[in-house]
Amino acid sequence: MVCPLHAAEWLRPPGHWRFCRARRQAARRAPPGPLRECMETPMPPASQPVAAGRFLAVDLETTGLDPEHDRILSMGWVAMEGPRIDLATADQRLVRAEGPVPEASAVIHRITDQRAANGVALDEALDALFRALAGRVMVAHHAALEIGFLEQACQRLYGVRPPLAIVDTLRLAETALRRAGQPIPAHGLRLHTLRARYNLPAYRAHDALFDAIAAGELFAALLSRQSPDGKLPLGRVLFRPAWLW
Amino acid sequence: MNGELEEIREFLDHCPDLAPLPEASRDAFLRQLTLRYLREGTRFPPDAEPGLWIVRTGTLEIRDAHDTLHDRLGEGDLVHIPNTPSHPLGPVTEDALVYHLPLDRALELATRDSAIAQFLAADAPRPLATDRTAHGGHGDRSLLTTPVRALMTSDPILAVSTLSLHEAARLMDRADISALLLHTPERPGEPCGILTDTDLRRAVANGVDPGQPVAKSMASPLTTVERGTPAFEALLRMARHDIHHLPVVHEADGTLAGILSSTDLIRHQGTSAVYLVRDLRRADDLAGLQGVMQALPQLQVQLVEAGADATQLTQTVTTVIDTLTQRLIELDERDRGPAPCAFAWLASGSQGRHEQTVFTDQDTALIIADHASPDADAWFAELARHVTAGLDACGIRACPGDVDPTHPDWRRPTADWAREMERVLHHPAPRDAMLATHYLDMRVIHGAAELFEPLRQQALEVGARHEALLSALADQARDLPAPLGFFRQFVLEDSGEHADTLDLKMRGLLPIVAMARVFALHAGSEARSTVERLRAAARAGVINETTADNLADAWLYIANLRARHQATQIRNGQAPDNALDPAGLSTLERSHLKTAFRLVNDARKTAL
Repeated sequence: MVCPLHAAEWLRPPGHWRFCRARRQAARRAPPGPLRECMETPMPPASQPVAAGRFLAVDLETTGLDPEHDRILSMGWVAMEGPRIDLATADQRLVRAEGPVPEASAVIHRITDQRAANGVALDEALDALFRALAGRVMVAHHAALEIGFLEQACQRLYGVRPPLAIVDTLRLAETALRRAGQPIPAHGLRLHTLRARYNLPAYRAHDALFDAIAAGELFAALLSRQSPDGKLPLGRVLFRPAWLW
Repeated sequence: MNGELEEIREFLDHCPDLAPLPEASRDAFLRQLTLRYLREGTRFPPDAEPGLWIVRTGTLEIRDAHDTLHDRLGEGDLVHIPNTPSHPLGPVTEDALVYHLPLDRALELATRDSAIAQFLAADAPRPLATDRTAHGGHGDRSLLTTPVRALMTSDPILAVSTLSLHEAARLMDRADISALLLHTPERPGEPCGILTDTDLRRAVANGVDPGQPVAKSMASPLTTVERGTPAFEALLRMARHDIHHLPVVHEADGTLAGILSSTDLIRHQGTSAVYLVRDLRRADDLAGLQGVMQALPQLQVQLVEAGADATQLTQTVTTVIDTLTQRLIELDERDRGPAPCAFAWLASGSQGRHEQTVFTDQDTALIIADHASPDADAWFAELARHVTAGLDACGIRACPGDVDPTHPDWRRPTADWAREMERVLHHPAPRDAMLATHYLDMRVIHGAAELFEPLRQQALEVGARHEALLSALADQARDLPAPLGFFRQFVLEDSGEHADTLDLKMRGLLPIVAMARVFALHAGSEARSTVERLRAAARAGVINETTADNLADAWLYIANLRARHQATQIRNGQAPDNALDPAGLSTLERSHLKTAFRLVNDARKTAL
């Protein structure tokens, strides 16, 4: 399926054209299922106002930071219509462990081997996530981790690295603070530090669903400052790897 | 599988307003919420969206089109925004995270779950009043709909009850509070008693050792009120228990949330005076001013109903009339060009003393800078005519005694005023006593205060040392008609329009005002209001504390009675006056009034 864009949109941002092409290629290579459907669902143009943007705040809990060696323990997400977070869509999946959970991370995530064993298989969790992600821009805090793990998992399971449209709240916040000329203290860009700065409540950390909600709320807080009227073009808040958008 | 939203669920479980929602329905309710982040300074609700809103963090205010505060919401508070085009909006006063149940989802939930339907229906009768009376919505700031939490002082000071009286008094003085909440050493954070200014006064009067623990003097157990209680109910509770402070507690767990004083309630009502003043400032012709001033009698009724005492009432009314005067002068200068030289508009009498009610007349004067051009006086005569006529048109009657600057006696250059005041204050002929009282009560309402203040300073310095003036004023105070006759019966007016009534002003208030003026002059005090003058005189040792207290109490009692009498007349569509029919008083009121009058008589005999 072709990205339904106006002719002008085709000409204007070459990045968007490349992004659409990469999505089409991924859709062709992916097996039938939610990942392929997600890749086939058209994405809005980068010129769309953020208030009309459709987002999915996502968080992954993992056994470590290296997508090559570490595993996904759980995924949580919640949909956003512009700055509105819809709790009706809040969802999470625990991923069944394929081996023992290393002790350190188990303590952090409160996911014991026992609970991890009660989870679902990774592909089942990914299916649920990609169903929710269709037509939406992913919102994550320090998105590189989510991207790395999702690409690695998809590569392994489906032989394809899905190009994702992403908002990284860490980068957005960093830009906002730098632009305001504010010094950024050590750990100043951590999710809970930033949330406190914007008067957001302290949730118990490291629960995938609440970290996803937390990232979504932080995004809403950042939007309220960077675009009080919601007219900022979507493209201005996207996190772009060099080849994308 | 759905994610567990237990952290949000836990929060909702602690919201007192959600308590009626059955446990079983809460997850379904929670699942329909959306989350919004509202930045400080933006309008609430965002995009004027109706529905149910719950504050998770931050603070919001709900205000109507007149910017009147209806409610102040903080963590855990819920507000129902109705689906009407004119529903109230308010600023977000601190960055807020809020939960929102949009109207369509609420309706859908209600059709699915009868418990939720009941909860939503029960919540609906708390809409915020949106229709308002003819003038600027002075009627909708009702204590009936405003919850206590919007008016209370948060984070009250809580001290341990083993504190000594002296330490408690010092703490209250430093914090500038009139009531201190106390807890036992065993249960900190849980108030068990309250110590108020009144308790302290009583302790001192009874000679209680200031080193004694406060627990013996505090009031305990406490009468409390919940945050969501309508302010009106809180007011009734205060009246019933004859107290002026109520600790405010959280509905959910009974923990302390704040403290509410009767002053907080009155201040809330007082905001309507703020609107009146604002509207006066905005009016730009006489008709506009007249329109605004029509609300003044209603303001007095409201203040009386809200339990404002006469001091608060008369200060409020005086402020309104001061503003009216200022605006009339500004408008005249706008129409005729600026004044040819510096001047000040002065008020004496009750306006000068900050003691006006709606039933008042003008006592005004003009002071003009020296060395003005010869035709300047004609300009000021014109100003005097316009302003006095304007005041009269707005319901402030022209002075029957001709104390107003259309008469040259009350419109003089500075040097001329200085000579005149010196003459009257240094060598008062008996008939000059009345002039002297005007000079001593005069206050600058508008214009160059520096023209008049030095004259008053000088007059006070001279007057305090001048036996002739003091005795002239004392004579005048003594010569005012007595309120009580033989056998302690009220002296009623025997003829005229007000036959068989009691003139509360002439027989009750003016004798106290006159005495207070003499005492304050003797004490060298600059105070103008009667109660302040009595206090200043007591501090300076001119009269003893008991006399000062008695006279101040009597003044307040009679002035309160007059305010209530006038409010009743206004409610009944009559013109307010000072003529009270004692037959309409209850036995208790009659006996109190007689006591007040007797105090005045006694003070006249002993202190003058």
